[in-house]
This record gives sequence, structure tokens and C-alpha cells, in this order.
Amino acid sequence: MAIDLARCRVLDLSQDWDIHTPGFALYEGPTVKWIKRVAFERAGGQWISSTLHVGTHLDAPLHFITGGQDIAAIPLNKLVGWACIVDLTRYGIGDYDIYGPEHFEQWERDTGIRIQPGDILVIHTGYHHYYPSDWATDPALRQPDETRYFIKHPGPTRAFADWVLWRQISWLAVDCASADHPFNTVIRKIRADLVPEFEAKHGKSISELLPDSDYQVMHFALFPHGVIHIENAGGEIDKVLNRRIMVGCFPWRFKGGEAAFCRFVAFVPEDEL
Amino acid sequence: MGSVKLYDLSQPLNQEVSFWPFYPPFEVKYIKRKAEHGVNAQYIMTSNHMGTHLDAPRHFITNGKTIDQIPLEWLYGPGVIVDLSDVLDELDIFTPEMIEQRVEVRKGDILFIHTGWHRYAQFGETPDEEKYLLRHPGPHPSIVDWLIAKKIKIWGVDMVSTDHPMNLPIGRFLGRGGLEQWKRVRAICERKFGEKLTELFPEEHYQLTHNALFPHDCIHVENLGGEISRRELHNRRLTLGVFPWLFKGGEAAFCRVVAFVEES
Repeated sequence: MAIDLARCRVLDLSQDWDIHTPGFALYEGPTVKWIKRVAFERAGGQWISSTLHVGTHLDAPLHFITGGQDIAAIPLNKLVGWACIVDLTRYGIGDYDIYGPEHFEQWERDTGIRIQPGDILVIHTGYHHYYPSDWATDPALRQPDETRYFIKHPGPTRAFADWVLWRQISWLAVDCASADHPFNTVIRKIRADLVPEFEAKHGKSISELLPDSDYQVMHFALFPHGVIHIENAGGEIDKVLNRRIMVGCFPWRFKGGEAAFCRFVAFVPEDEL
Repeated sequence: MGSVKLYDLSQPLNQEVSFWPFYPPFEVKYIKRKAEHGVNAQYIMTSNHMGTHLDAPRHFITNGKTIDQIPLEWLYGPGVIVDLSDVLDELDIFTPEMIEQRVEVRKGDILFIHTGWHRYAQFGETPDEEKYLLRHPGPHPSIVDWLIAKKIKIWGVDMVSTDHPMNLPIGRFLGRGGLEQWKRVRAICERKFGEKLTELFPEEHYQLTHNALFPHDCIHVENLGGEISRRELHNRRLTLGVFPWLFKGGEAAFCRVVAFVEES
């Protein structure tokens, strides 16, 4: 399938990045300071420091694999391609919920769109509305709430990780804090006070829902296969839901980087906007 | 990407890459390791003017646009990469006429200039930091009015700056009272341009392509590289994309730069 570049508009699926943008749990956020000013040095210059898991960013396999591929080693051809944008909100998925292959197969039946081998899979939970650095959402719908964003977003189990490999998904993007369920990350320990709420929602124990052996399964089980992901996607994502479109992920070419901030965009023909 | 071929026009960036004079370097360190924390995580500290990066107007203009305020429509679209590499030597000058002799530049195009200089960058074919930083070519001052007339918003070079070294600290004061690099650069230019030197580089043209163009929202990418030397990309129409991360308030940002070529 060809795409007519001249007729494409670019939509921004990225969130803002500034000092107010929260990093992931136990990751320091950005510092930005002016170190030169026009009045004195005839040019203005900033200095930044940050961890890399802040705002819209791409994880490289190196994040979890000793000697794994770094950001600069990921070929551009992999980073641009056809993506299915799956809206999970249509299935009523919300706080603490677990999604799985059944939701994506239902989505294929409902939309008539087939998620093809080699496709990128963009998962829309709707939680980007809660991100403090959301900018594109209608202000009336924007509901900054970082606790809900980081702690309560839905996530998958091992069944989904297995399905992603089986369906030969190239890579993933999520509009929430992590590709893993929050309680399948370090958040399980640092917000242990909310585990009872999570268990009550499901009527099952956490060890039954998310066994220890599956800890961070979306990272540990998928990165060895090169199936990486963007976290904190968002921006204008609501404009492209339930479609198969061309997307591009553009991290700066960070040699040795275990992750990098990236610009995530959709290339959409003008007459399909 | 369907029948579209992608070319990466970005230079790799890490702690080894040379940094702009008077600006701090790119630093990176691990703050979490797999064995202790179950994960590898890094922390970076850097100025924005390293590697392949986009300058926003805010770099020179009080209250100018910042990276997040640059519309994506400016950053992706039709353009050209003009090849001037065969006619440019150390500290040479290129003119709009030289560009137009080789390729048609249309209004609003994204314009990249291939000087060949990226081969001297840290990760280029023949790294030579002094040559890359101190003795790169630069534009004739007429490029300013020409870019404005062409309504160009985004242009870029495979060099450390869009300005000629004589309009930068490099040819004016770098190393003054110390290594005196500016004197050596100036001496080469005096030999090269003779009496025309002050006419070509008047005092008030300090950082000309920054100071004169940023008020018009005509901004640029510096340190292009990667596959920009590929001949099939030169002097023809193609689609170009410049993708900085969405740095709200950023006076510049690292970016990934890509040429999209439809295969026939």
C-alpha cells in the first residue's frame, strides 16, 4: 500500500515536555535553566538535565537488557509504518482494569480492520486526558490528575504479551504511563496502600491477577524480541482512533541511549482527516 | 513505509560529540542498573546545541517562538537538499545563486544544504574536530533576503552553524588571550577574501543568519548528517521532516531529521 506524501498532513501524537512533566515512579523529572541570555552573551542558551522516562518517549531494549539495542541502533524503517489505533474506551475499560487479546480481537470484528503482522499497535486507554502535560485535548475534557494517570490506568497481563508476539506486532505505543499494568511495576510496592482497592475492583488477589513471575511482562517478555514501546503518547490521538494509519516515532539519534524523548506523529491524507 | 524510502539525515549524539564553544557538553550517566534495580536507566545533562538540533526563535529573540510553538506543518513537507559539496572548501562562501543553479527552490520549501562538512564530525567518515568546528564554509549575507523572499521557514546545514565562522565567536574572539583560534581563522579569510573581507563580514553581521532571520520565524537545523551525502537525494524534489521532541519552552531541541522519498 502506497501513501501519497504530498497529500499527507501531520498530526502530533506527543505530549508536552517541560519542568512540570512528571517522570515515571522514582525517576527524576526535567530541570531546565537558562545559562546564557541575549542581553549579555548575544544568544540565549538553556541547559537541561533529566531522566529519559519523562513525557512522550521511546524505550530501547537496552532499558532492560544488558548489551541490548540502544536508541541510535533502532532502524528508522522500523520506526515509521502502518499502525492500528485501538480505542479501548469503547469497551468500558477504566481504572485498574485489565485488557487482553479478546479486546483487540473484538476491535477487529467491530471495525473490520485487521491488525496485520508487522503493524505498530497504538493503544488508546483515554488516560492521556489525565496527564499534566496534555495540551491537545479540548480544555473542557482535560482532567489533569497524575495519581489517576500513573496509578490507576488499565494494563495487560502475560496473555496480551504472548498475543503481541503471536500476532507479530512490530512495536507498541500507549497513551498512559506504562505499557505494563501499574500494579505490575514498582508502583505495586510504592503505592501498596491502593492494592486493596485494585483487588476489590477485580474480586481477586493481586498474586492471582498479576503473579510475581510476570512482573513487568510487557518489558521483560517483549524487549528481547525487539518489541519496544512509546509511553505517554497523547496529543491529537483522539482524532485518529479506530483507524489504520501511517505513524512515525522520531527519537533523537541517541547513541548508547536506553530511551529517548521522541516526537510521535501520524501521517494522514488530507481528505481522510 | 509503503513505497516510501526513508533516509536518516541525523548525526548520532552522545558524550563523545564535540560541543559548541562556550556551551556545556552532553553528559550521560547510569542512575539505575539491571543487577541492583532490575532496570537500566540513564540521566542526561546537556545544552541544546549539540548533535542534530533545531534552533527556535527564542534562542535569539526575547519572547520568540519556542520549540513547542513551531507548527508541525512547517516541520514536514516538500523541499530540496542542494549539493554544494564539490565547490566548497574551508571557510568558503556559498550564495543563493549557487543554490538556484543546481535546483529549483520553491516558496515555503524546507531547504537543506549539503556542504559535505558532516564527514568531519565526530561520527563522520573522517572526523576532524578543528576542521568541523573552526573552518566550515558559510553563506553569503545575501542569503538572508533570499530566504525571506522564498518564505522559507526551515532550512538546515550539515555543519555546526548556518553562519560563517567570521560571523561567529570562531572568527571574532574564540581563544582571545589564549589559544587565539580566531586569529588563525581570520588570517585564512584575509588571504582568501582580501580587501572584500570587511564588506563580506561587517561588524554588525555577528550571527547574521540567527539575528536577521529568527524575527521572521525563519529557523534552522544544524549538524545535519547521516545519509545526507547520498547522491540520489541531491538537487531534486522530495519530502523532508524535522522532528524535535515537544520541548515546551525550549529555545532549541535535539531532533531527528528524515528524507522521505517515493520510490517509482
